[in-house]
Amino acid sequence: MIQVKRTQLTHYAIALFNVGIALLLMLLLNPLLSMRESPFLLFFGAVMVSAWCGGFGPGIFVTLLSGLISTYFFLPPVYSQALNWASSIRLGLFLLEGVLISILCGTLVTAKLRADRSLSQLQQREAELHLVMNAVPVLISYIDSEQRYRFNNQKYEQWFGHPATGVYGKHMQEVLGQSAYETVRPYVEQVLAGQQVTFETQVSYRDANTRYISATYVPQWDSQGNVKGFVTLVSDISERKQAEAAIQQLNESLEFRVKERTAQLEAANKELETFSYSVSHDLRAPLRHIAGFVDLLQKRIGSTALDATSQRYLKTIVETTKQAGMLIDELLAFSRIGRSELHHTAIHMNQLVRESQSEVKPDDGRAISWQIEDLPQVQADPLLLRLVLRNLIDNAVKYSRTRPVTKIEIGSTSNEHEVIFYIRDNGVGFDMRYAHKLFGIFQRLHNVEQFEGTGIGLANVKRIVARHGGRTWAEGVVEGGATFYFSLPKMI
Amino acid sequence: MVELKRILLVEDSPNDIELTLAALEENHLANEVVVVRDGEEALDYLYQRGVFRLRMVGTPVVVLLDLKLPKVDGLEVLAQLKSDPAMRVIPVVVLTSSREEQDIVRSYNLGVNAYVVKPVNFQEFVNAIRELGLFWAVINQPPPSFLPSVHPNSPTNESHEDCSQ
Repeated sequence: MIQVKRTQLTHYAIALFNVGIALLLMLLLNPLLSMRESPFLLFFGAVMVSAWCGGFGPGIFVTLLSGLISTYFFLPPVYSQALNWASSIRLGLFLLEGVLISILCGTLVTAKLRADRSLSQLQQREAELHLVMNAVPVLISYIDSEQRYRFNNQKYEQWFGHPATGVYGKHMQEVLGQSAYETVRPYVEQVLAGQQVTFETQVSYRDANTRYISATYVPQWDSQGNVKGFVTLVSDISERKQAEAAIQQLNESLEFRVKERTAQLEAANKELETFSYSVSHDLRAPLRHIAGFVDLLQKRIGSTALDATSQRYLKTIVETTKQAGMLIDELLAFSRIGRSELHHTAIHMNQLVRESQSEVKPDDGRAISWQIEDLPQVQADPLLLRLVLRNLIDNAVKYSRTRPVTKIEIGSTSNEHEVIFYIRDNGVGFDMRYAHKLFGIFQRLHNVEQFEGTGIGLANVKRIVARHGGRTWAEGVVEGGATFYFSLPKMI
Repeated sequence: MVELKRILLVEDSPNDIELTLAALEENHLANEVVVVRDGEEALDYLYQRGVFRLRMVGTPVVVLLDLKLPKVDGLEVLAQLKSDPAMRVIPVVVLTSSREEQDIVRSYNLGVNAYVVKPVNFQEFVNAIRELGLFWAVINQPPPSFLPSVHPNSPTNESHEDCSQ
């Protein structure tokens, strides 16, 4: 009926039209009803309709226009704008009533317009809310204090397969089924006591419909502070729970496998320990006995009773036994290096080199020319790394003893992943064809008469460096010196 | 002669027994040495039970204990002695071939008084025995309860297995 956007001009046109109709009807009815008795009769209608349609302005416009027309046509003296005092009072009263009607209608129209506008806004808001409410992947319901459903979003239909509206007004117990109701009942009681509650549980709804849910119940209060109902927000987390269960199962089986593997490793390690313990104890004992009894024998027969060869034999037996004992000790140390735990700390390599340097004293008193670069700091086990340096420096000193001046050079390079240290000497070197044998246990490239040793030092070096995640290699030229390298990975 | 400073040698290997006794002899340590061959015998001797029921009273000034022994091993003997207030005061020296760290650590944790690894070289062994014998049987002052007053049994009734000199 009322168009909000109708222009004011249209309102005035309608007002004019109303006045025209009223005048026409008055003139037509005048011969029958003698309109002069009630000169404003139909004009009241025109004022009312105009004010209703157009508000205060058109109402006043029609009132004034009607006053003029009625004065001319119906108020005595007719066909003149002249007024006697009675007519003036009647006109005045009409004008007053017209103004009142205009104000009243104007106010009503404005209020109605506002109400209409608010209503349409509300409707729009409601539509938006519905859209949001149905878009969220959560079952949203409103339940009153009597535990009767008042609202469900569309999720309800998706979950349970029948329209949500069907359960409005029904009690929770009836809607959910006995089992599910018993499950959520404590939470319902809590929220009705005014406490917001969040929980996760497994719920068996009707028709064998079992879900794992995460739910939040939010109480709604009335103005007196009583809980008048609550909103339920329920998510189906069955899939998540299944995934969690699967992950847990995987973890358990993984844990089991790790345990199994660890047990195997521990058993192997234990066996190895038993082995080296036996070696340590049982293999050394007979050696000790040989040495001991040879000694006793020597004392018994006395040095004069034996010829030189026999004495040399006895001496060789003693020496060999000693050698065997040393080998066993070295082998055990080698095995210990493989088993001991690493204790990483920051190491200043220059300091470690200085310490190792001071421990090296060639027995022939020859001069050594050291050339040591600035070396970086590394992360490693200090005891084991010292063993590496000590071995390599000892070797450099040992294999260069035929030179008039021993030259030892210690330096480092580095790339993206590792720091590489090298120890270079001007000693007897080695044939690169046998380089692969250098780091093998008990492997030697020289015989004992040339250079003493058991062949375990470089094996230890390799093992220690490997345990740090590094590499070992060497370059050499026969009678042209050797360079030994080892790398340590850069710690992040 | 009544030798008061008795040494108890717990050793299963006859070769080691002979060498140890020879080393003691070479050092002119005239102590009486009682030799037992396993951990059980060692405990029987110290507690005066079993075949040692009737042995001469008194406690050895030092027990030289091998670790690897039949029946009851050396660490167990050590554990039993050091957990008994009556036996705890007896000095126990582990004399063994093993230089395994775990043996050393466990022995010290159990309260061993000294740990000696038998050297391969016999002369070194002799030296080690001399140091041990001198220290424990001569220099070291044993607790007062060790000093025997009377011997109810004559020494000839002793029932130990082996004895030097």
